[in-house]
Amino acid sequence: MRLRNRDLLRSGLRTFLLQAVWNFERMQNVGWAWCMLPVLRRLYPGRQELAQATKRHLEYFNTHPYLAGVILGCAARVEEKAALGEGATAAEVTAVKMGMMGPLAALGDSFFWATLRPLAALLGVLMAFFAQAEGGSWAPWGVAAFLLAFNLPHLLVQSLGAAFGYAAGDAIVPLLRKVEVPVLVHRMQAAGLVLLGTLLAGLQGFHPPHEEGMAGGLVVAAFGLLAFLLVRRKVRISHILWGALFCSILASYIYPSPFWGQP
Amino acid sequence: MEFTLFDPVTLKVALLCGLLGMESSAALQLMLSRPLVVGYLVGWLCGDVRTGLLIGCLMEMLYGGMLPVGAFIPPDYHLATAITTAGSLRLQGLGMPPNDAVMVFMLLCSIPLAQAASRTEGWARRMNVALCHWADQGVGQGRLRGLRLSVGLALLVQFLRSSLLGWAGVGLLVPLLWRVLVSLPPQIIAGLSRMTWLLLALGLAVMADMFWNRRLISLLASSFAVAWLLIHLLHVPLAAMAGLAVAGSLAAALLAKPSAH
Repeated sequence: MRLRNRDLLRSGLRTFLLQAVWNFERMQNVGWAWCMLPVLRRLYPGRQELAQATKRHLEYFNTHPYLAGVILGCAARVEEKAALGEGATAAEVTAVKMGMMGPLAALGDSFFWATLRPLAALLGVLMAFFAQAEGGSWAPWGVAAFLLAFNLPHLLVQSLGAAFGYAAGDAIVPLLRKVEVPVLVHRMQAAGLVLLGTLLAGLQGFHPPHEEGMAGGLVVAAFGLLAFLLVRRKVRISHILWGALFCSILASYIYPSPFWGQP
Repeated sequence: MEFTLFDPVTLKVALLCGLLGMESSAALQLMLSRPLVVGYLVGWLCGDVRTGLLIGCLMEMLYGGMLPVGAFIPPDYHLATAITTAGSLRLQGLGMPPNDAVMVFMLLCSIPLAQAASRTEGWARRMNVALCHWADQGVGQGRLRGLRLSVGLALLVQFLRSSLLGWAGVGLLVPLLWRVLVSLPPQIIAGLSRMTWLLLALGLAVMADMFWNRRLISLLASSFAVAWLLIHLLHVPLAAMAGLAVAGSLAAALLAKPSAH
């Protein structure tokens, strides 16, 4: 029996629980097999065949969770061909999975985790800080902006991934090659730097618990620059924090009244 | 103020921690467990959204660079944020020490807490190996129900793990940390108070590192200059500036030209 749209949809939606049983041995394998079940049930009505096909999908599997649907669609296409005797074999299903999981993991990590999430977070932080500075009640919109900015592309990719992978079939590799992740990342870095520049300019409106004078502002700016240089050199953030705390406490012993003004 | 394990706020925060513990890696991953969102939610539960959001923003900036790549388990930032926010809000307003010292102290204590909590995530993942073998065996014998049960059990374990840690954190750890905080000498309290701006500066440094691109440095400088002029000379409201920033960032994204390789 051929796969229907609803089989792919059901399997695709299950990718939201792909990482539920993440384990150190075979990583996302249990979640993956569970995601494939609606497709396999449609293709293998017999209990023995179904169990055999499911067992095949309990091998090692690890990829970016948002892009697993693309692999699922491709694997479903090959499984359908194998089930209907159209020239594909079980080994080809495994080969498709193994061949795609690494590249898609790298693509997902560099786009979603390393770029989109920080960009959405920066947008949320900017809106929250600006709203707090004005005493506005729109600060929660910063949270909404963060969630929207991240989840619109995420949900688009994850919910349509299975259908896309199934429709593309063998053409998936040339199609994925057209996605120029370095270009996307570069553009999002540009967007991020504009937001960062605006946030830096607007921070003066954010009132700290103490009224700081010019000297205090210079100390903070100098620390920010030093922290940036240390972070660029991969110094751990916790080490920088403890170092800053030590210096701050030392300053309190040396200068009993606040260095940059009265509390 | 009495701290109990069974007061409504502690239980609500524990329930939230449980739900977000599932969401952070096992289910959905809609970023509801990010510090920015957790700070807001816990602030809302504790009756002070403003402070909750501030703590959430600080922790989001500080933890932003931790990526869940491969087998790496990042620190449990959602738990750390929930306990920091609930602890800060419950202890603030008690007079001594000042509120910002309380917030910074709780935030600093959340670092080892987040690391410790991520170890329990490692235990849960080791337990999942047993679930994997059990499901595998079941499928080999033609029983597919084991797959669904494994997923359900693993989610339940995540929920229990996070909710118990959240419950113990707010109900037990926060009162303990309060006793430590009030016994600190005034110079250390003053040092903690001063850290608020330093934390903000560090958070900005972490964010700058994430977006750093030498070829785009002029963009950072020009956006800062334009924004500064608009805010401080032309007195454009910050709400409008946020909108302009979004428009500017979209324009920058569309017009940025990566160099040819």
